Amino acid sequence: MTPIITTEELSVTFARRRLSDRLLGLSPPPEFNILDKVSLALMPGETLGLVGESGSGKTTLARTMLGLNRASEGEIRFEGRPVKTQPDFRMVRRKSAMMFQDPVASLSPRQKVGALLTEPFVIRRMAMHDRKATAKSLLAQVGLPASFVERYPHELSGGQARRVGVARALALKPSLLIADEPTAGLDVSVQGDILNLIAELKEELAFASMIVTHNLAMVRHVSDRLAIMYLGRLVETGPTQDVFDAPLHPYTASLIKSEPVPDPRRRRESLAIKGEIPSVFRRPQGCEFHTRCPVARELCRAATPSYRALSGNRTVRCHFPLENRGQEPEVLNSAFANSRGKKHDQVEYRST
Amino acid sequence: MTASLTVENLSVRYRTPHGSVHALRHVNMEARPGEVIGIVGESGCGKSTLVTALANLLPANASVDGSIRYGALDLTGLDERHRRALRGDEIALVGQDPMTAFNPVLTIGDQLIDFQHHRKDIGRADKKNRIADMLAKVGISDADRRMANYPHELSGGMRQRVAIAAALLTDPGLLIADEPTTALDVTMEAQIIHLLRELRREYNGVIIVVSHHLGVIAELCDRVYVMYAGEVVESGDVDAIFHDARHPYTRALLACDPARFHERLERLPTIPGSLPSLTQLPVGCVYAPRCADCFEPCPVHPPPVVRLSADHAVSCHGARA
Repeated sequence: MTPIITTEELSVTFARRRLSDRLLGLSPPPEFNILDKVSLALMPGETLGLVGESGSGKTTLARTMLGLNRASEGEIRFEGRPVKTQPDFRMVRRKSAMMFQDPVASLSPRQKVGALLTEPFVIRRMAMHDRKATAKSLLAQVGLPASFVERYPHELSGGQARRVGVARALALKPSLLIADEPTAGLDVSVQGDILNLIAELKEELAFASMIVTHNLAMVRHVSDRLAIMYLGRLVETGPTQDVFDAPLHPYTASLIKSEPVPDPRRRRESLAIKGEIPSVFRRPQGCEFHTRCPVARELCRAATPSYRALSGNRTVRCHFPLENRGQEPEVLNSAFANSRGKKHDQVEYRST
Repeated sequence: MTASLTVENLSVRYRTPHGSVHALRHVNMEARPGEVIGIVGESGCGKSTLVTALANLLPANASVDGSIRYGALDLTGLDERHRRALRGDEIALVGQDPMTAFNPVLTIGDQLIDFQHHRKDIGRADKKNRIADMLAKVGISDADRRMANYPHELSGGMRQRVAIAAALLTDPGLLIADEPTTALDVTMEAQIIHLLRELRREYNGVIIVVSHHLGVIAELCDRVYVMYAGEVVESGDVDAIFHDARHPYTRALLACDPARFHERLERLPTIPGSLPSLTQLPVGCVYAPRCADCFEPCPVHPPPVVRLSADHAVSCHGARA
């Protein structure tokens, strides 16, 4: 099966120009990797959870996939075809949809809900026999009353604004939905509503989705596969339940342990992880996580680990993954795609 | 000063052009020195109004009934001068977004000195020493460098630590933390929770933690008040609330938290229906329209407060003592 979208070694760098550099026009400004060689594939109908702390580059990855940021290296393929030029990206955006973080801010305050919902058709110059009817059927799809076509965004509650966002994203029946923090700022009871709605519509319209979030408790229930990011690099990918049951990367394990438990009898006494995500401007040498890693060793400070594909469709980027502690990395093959289904495979994906 | 906080029959109404909004109704609450009190509820439940009332920061269009007694003082009856004297001395507030808590054009050090303005007895140098001690306590080691920083130079987690230090510098008897971890990542959230827990060991005042996040409440608090649509629907020991909840709303809220389920759920649980309008409240129980266990008296009569134990109280027609 061809994946809906793949990124191959996708990197985004940007130059940081200080005012003094610009005025003096001295040496070329230093470049920083916001995304560093991210390879991901999203299969049709799949839900991928992209997880990481703020500053991990997860939003940048989502935006770059749709051409909203420019990639400096690497390749994006959409339904098997490489995407390079602006017209290519227009095609991608025609078949995909993005829900941005702040639902109210992504709805123009001066347009009514009806106009907001039909805007995708106007932008794509698509025929719509009856504007109002289209808007009303979209509202019905997300469980809102037809009278909402006459409302302005400020008259909606947070949950209603999300529903309008979902309706607008799915108006053109995309094959890919990218939702950036779809439930941030929502109450738990409403969060479930929105996620159930997306799941139902997914059944009906059969699109693949990528949910960008830092909410682990939520993503475990809505995603089939997880990709964990740290400082612009993927550190672990794998089937959601497996990653939660036995995380391979120490960072994944610390993230899972950091989640507060809603049970006063199981209070955590110790901290799983200390400190903060470093700035990309000061990316640590070697493995970028060694500064906070509870099990870091000498090798971690010296050498950058490479991706390794393991059995069970999992990859990890760590010298000493948690289950295989002490085992030396074996260089077997350069394409991790082949390893799917094989057992005991440890494949060196790409040395950096 | 350490004193108990007693809120009795507190009601707050906001006068608006669209009618009177009854944001808080007949709230009773008690907090003893050394306790960490949790207030939990979803948006619109009145937790912010309650906190603002405790901090004496209600807007001019609010009218207050009932009493908030702090030691021998009634906070609701104070004039503006006394209120000011209390805020920033006895009562300190740590907000949700630490960025807006600081002035962007002053250094952290200058602001932390200003926060101690009520301490007329000590000089600037002593105030600086106090700051260095306090910053060390909240886990910031290079105090001198940080004091020279501007707020935008600190990360979110660091700013929240400084905000907590700022609050503690005033030696408050009442420390209110309003959604202290909502703006932070999980790893930083865990660290701030850890910090607050460490700090309470040597702090003798009352700490009130407001959050919509059940995990944070469970990790931090001794006693919990669950609020819905402006009322306290259930209160009790944290263990009773999380393991022996009696109010249907508390149970529904707990059941909604995806963190409780470790196996993947096909559908996430939700609470059907929506919050009643606070301008036209239902006659009976406020939760009746959404309640799964609603029976005859619920939509007609306001529910009684049933005491289940010394600490555990619930206002529900269905509750049996």
